[in-house]
Parts: sequence; C-alpha cells; structure tokens
Amino acid sequence: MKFALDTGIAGLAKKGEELCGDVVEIKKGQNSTVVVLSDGLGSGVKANILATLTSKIAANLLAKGVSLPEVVHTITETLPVCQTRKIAYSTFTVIQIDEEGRFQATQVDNPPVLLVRKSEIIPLTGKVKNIAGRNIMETSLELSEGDIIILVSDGVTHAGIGALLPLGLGIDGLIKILGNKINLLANAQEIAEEILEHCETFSALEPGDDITVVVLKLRKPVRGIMLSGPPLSEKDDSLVVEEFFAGERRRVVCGGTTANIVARERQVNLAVDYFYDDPLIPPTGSLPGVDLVTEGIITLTKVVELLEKGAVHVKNKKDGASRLLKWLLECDEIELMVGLRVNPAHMKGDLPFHLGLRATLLQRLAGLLSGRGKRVHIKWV
Amino acid sequence: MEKIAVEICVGTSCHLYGALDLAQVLEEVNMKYPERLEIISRTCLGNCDKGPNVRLAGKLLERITPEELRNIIIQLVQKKEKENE
Ligand code: FES
Repeated sequence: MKFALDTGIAGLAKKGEELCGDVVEIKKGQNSTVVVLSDGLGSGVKANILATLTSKIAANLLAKGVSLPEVVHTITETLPVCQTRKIAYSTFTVIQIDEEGRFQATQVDNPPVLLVRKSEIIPLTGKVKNIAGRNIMETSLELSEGDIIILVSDGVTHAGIGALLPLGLGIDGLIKILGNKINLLANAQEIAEEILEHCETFSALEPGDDITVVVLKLRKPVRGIMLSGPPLSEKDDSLVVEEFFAGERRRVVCGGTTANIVARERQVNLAVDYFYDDPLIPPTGSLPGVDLVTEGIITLTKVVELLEKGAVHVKNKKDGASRLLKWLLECDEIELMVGLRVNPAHMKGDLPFHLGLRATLLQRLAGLLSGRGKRVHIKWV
Repeated sequence: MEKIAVEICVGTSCHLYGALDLAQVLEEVNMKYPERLEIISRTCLGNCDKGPNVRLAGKLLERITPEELRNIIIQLVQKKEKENE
C-alpha cells in the first residue's frame, strides 16, 4: 500500500427533516477505494431512498469491477426522472482512488469536486459526455501525498440562501473559505466538520437543504492496534501484551481490566481520570506507550452507535468514545485484538445491561470501520 | 497535613451503578476543603456486583450513595482537622 485515504464525512439534514437526502457510500476494494456522494431530489425520506439507491448501486458495481462509465450508464438508465419537474431524481459524484494514487472522478450534476494541492485549490474539470441524456464530466489524474479531495452536495454551495448570503456560498465562496479560514493540515474529519460549521453559520443555523461534505486526504498508511478484553486464558496475558507492543504502530487499550493487565505486565502505572467529560461515558486513562486508554463495553457501544449514525462530530470532544472514534478514523489498517475472557462480575448482580457482548460488539465495529474504507483484522485471543 | 486517600472506581459496573454522582461529590468536597483529599481513580476495585465502590482511607465502601459518601468524607475531614489543632 503506497497511499492510504484519510476520510472525513460531515453532514446535516435540512431543517425539520430527520433523514438526510444526501448519502455517502465508501467501499474499499482490493486495491482501490470508491466513494459515492449522491443527492436525492428534494429532502426527507424519498430523497434519502433515491440517494441510497444511487450510492449503493454505484459502489457495489464498482467494487465488483464494473467500469466507471458502465456504472454511470446503468444508474442514469435505471433511476427514474421526476415526472413533474423533468429532472433526474438524483445527482451524484463517483470517485475511485487506488493505492498508487490514480484518481478518477465522474460527476453528474453535483457541484465540482475540489482538489487541494499544496496551497492551491482547484475545481476539477474534464471531458463532458452525454450519457442517457445527462451531462457527465469525467476527470482522471495522479494524486500525490498530501493532496486533498473535497466533495460537497449542493447544500454547501447553496448555503446562506434565504439567510446571510442571498446568492449562496457558491463554489468560489467555498474555495475562499478553504483558502482563508480552514486549517488544511488538520485531519480529514476535522476539515469536513469545519466546512460544515461555516455552512451552518451562513444558513443562520437553519439549513434550507441537506448539507454534506466529504474530505479525502492522501497520506502514508497509518497502522493501529486496539486491545480490548482480557485473553481467554490467564496464562496468555504476558504473551498478548508483548504482541500488542510489537512493531511500529499506534495503540489503544479499551477496557479497565485489560488496562490493568497491561500495566501489570509492563510494570508501569495506569493513571485514570475521574473527570467526566460526558456523563454517559466513563473517564479515560493513560498508559506509557499507548495513545489512549478507555473503559470497555459502554465506550465501545457508544462508538458503534456514533458510526452507525453516519456523519460524526468528534472535533473538540474529550469524552472516551469520541476520542476513541477519532483515533480509529485516523488509522488505515487496524488490528482488533479481542480478549474473550468474560468478566465474571458482569455476569452477576443486577446490572442494567447485559455486558457479555464484547465479541459481537467488536464484530460490528469491524464491519463499520471497513465500511469507512479501513482495512480491519480481528484477532481473538 | 496528611491527605486522606479516596479511591473511586470508575469501571464499567461502578459507572452503571452511578459512579458519576460520587465523582461529583468528591469534586464538591475537594472544592470546599482544598488540599485534604488525594483522589485516585481506579478501573476496578474487585467488588463489581456491589457497586458503586469507593475505598476511603483503605476501607471499602460498597453500594454507597452520594449522600452517604458526602457525610462520611466530611466527618473524616473534620475529625482530621480537630486532631491537628
Ligand atoms: S468496576 Fe468498580 S469494582 Fe469493579
């Protein structure tokens, strides 16, 4: 793997709507990643369904090796056109980036894709083709390390209409903000959230359309390992801890008992906070050589919940779940080392939850992270 | 003056049993009587099914409520103060 993609997604539904009519789908294939941003006509449930259809069809076909033009053809031919407004039910952008940095984009009516290279911000243009009555723009180029690709739905370029910007932010406005106001050295998720915040402000906090921002940053692959749960057999403790510290990678420990085992085996001190940044999430701790120590099951459940929601807000959040999620999103290749010893204390007493679900929970987490383009490997210990 | 060691468990079980409320009591007492308490967080005190747990000056207090904890700690702090007078 020469390059990895740091991905960030931030979004907001139109004011008063539960569901967002923009849908982002990221699929990681053998050597390439496909990202689809689709915007369904209107907002709410119908828009969401149409956008979901578009994204899923595109991502799945591409992942199966169907070529980009064929996929676009299939979608434009299959999806309905609105009878009254005579416009297609969804607009979309599909991009494909491989591990060598080769980039291809197909844009169907969405705002232009932006490329940030060093300090330059360039809207991507390319050949325009007409497929099934729609104008389709194709671009291909070679990306290099540090390049950033930004996809937005028209909720971004229209931000401010009816509020602070009568003509909307527009693509030029977005470029200006990117150049002047946004820290492009931050990670992809932070950049996406910052763009979203600006749009929210222009809309006076009442967005008139669904807003979605996808940020992709090319970087060297980051490897990480998470240890969660004590090993099934106690005599494996030292071996597992040794393996956890082997190699050059980032590390997190997820679980109080697990953290105690690591501290004991490494003969180091485990420091735990008693400050609650979020009353629902137990405090975090620290261990030398480990990026973050969190509580186990409750924190993991929250991380899974946040990932299932789609768009995440972790910027400036200090609680264990948000920090763990941020850490996970920063990694490209993640090994989950999952201990299967059940904490006997979780099995008795009158605790409000059933807590013996670590394995299931981590499987769900692995699935969600793969869905974000991460390469995930679970090792049961 | 020697500080009173208070170990509060913030592990999963104790969290579910309400460790947050105990942490708030400790904060509050710590503000009122600065420099008297040495607060240490623990991830488990080995008594999970009888949480929330606090170990105060070496003594384990199980199923402790915030009110009880507040009273016990304040009494202890005041007793220490008297001894030192
Ligand atoms: S979690 Fe508090 S005693 Fe075990």
